[in-house]
Amino acid sequence: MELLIIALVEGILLGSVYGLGAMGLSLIFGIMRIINLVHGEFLMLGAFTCFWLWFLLGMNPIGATFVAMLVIAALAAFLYKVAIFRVVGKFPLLSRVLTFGLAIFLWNFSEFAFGSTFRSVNYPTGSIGFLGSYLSVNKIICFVVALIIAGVLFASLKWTRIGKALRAASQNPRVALISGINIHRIRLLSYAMGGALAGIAGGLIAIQWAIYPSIGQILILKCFAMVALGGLGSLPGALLGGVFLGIAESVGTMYWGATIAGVIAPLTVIAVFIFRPQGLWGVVERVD
Amino acid sequence: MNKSDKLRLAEKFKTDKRLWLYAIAVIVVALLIALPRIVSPYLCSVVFLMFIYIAYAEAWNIMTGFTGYINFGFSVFAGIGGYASAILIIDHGIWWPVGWLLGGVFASIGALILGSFMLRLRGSYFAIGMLCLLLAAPVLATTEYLIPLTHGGYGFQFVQPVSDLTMYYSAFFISAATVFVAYKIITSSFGAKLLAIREDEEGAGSIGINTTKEKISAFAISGFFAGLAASVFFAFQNYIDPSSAFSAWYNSLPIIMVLLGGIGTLWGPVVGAVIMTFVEEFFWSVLPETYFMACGAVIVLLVLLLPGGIITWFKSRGILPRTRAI
Repeated sequence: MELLIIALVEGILLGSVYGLGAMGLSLIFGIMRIINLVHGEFLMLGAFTCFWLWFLLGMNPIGATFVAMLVIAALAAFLYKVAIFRVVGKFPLLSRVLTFGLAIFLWNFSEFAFGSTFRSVNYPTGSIGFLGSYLSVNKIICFVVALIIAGVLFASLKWTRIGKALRAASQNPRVALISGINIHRIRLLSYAMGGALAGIAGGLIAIQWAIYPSIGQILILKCFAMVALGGLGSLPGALLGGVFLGIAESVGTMYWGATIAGVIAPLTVIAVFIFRPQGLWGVVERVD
Repeated sequence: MNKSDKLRLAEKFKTDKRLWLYAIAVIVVALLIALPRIVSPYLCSVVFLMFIYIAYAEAWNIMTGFTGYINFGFSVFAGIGGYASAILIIDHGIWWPVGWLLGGVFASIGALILGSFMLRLRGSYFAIGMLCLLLAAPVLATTEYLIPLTHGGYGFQFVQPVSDLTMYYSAFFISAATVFVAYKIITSSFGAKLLAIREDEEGAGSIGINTTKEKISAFAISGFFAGLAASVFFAFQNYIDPSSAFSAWYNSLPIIMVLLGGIGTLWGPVVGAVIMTFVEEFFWSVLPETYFMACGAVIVLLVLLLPGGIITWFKSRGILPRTRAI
């Protein structure tokens, strides 16, 4: 029983960080109706930005995480301005293959530039006793940061003008356009925000685990699982899906070992798509 | 000159053109057959790869180009085929041509089973689902439950059962067969149904096409040729392990080739595969570190600048006729 509680708590701490990345993916999907296959690479580059800032400049990793957020947001905005905007709203094959190509490029660029060794941020904050086991304070700090970011995001979506415009563009782009919302700016903003969320989630991942260039492939899979669980395009769903997946993975690792835990995410996606395509909590939504 | 004369002239011109095409085709085929006796073994192995890539690209095109369902999990079927043939040939001592053929059959059965539920998904859901299958496959192959079958991370080491020459001709035959079957599909009513599904699935369903059945058939045919080509490919590579069988790289290669040549056209994948084989060979020898990066950049540029591919561009310029058979 105690083991199960520990697994649950670990899962929630893990899932909140995953959830941030998934929220970015869901936001981009909700507003532009494209699957951002570059998202895993955004997470990976966020993690590396945090790592290099800490390693080269000796920055505090949490501070470096926020810098990573800005860097990846800028990268996302650049990619949108250069390439992505040309395929939004077009034949869906184009956006899928374009983001796929960008992902291959960024992945192999980091492979080329950083090498494929494992790296990790050394951020010793000690650990606290918990039910006869130990819980690293790192994870709790990351959890708090993730919660704050999610809270700020939800509040701004709910109450600010731009947040309202974002939600309007997500619900009905045509009517949003008619009522005077600059839909192109909103798309650019949402893509940059998706990148920002991925950057910060990547930074928090670098603080907790070892990172390497091909980690993006694994992370995007987890993001898909979370977004699928929460329903494509739903933000609170993505966060809850993150917590759900975190719990499933930590409990799965505890009882069946690490190899089986690696299959949980992809099989969850397929099962959810087939049996409950609207997600566990999501509203029914038609996708192309 | 009256109208019937004009028509007769046009007809004559058409047959003349046809004759030229047949002549060129015969020369190319004869050259490819005679190639192992003319050029060095190295160049032969490059051409062997070219045949495999043509089969891969055309197999991917049969599914994605014709039905519009983006198959991001191509390597799953290539991997199943490769593994099935390796298990049968090495562990069970089956005669190699039968083993290769059965590799294709197993991949096709895998495509049938996976397709029967994956193809009920649409659009983004299908694309994400197939990507997830691809990423789950190598993990599944190394789990302790499948180790007796797949030998886990060690994989298989082929004790080469056939000569390189036999492999060359096998690959030649497989690529020719794949293109021939694709030609038969695209010019038949089955192909027309697939194209109807690509253009408007609801519309296709409403005129009485059983869309799920047609999609699954296309998936199974695509899986068969993927598995068959992969069996020969892995026998040539001499080993197969989870990361090479379900590699992300051989998953994206057909996508690049088909996009380059022209998606949904018959000859596009062939053109793309021929170009990419030599580009790949060139890059491997000159800039091996940046090769994958360059390929990512090529995909991006292709989507932005030439979204239809080479063949479609020629068709839109009127250089090639706009028939389904090209």
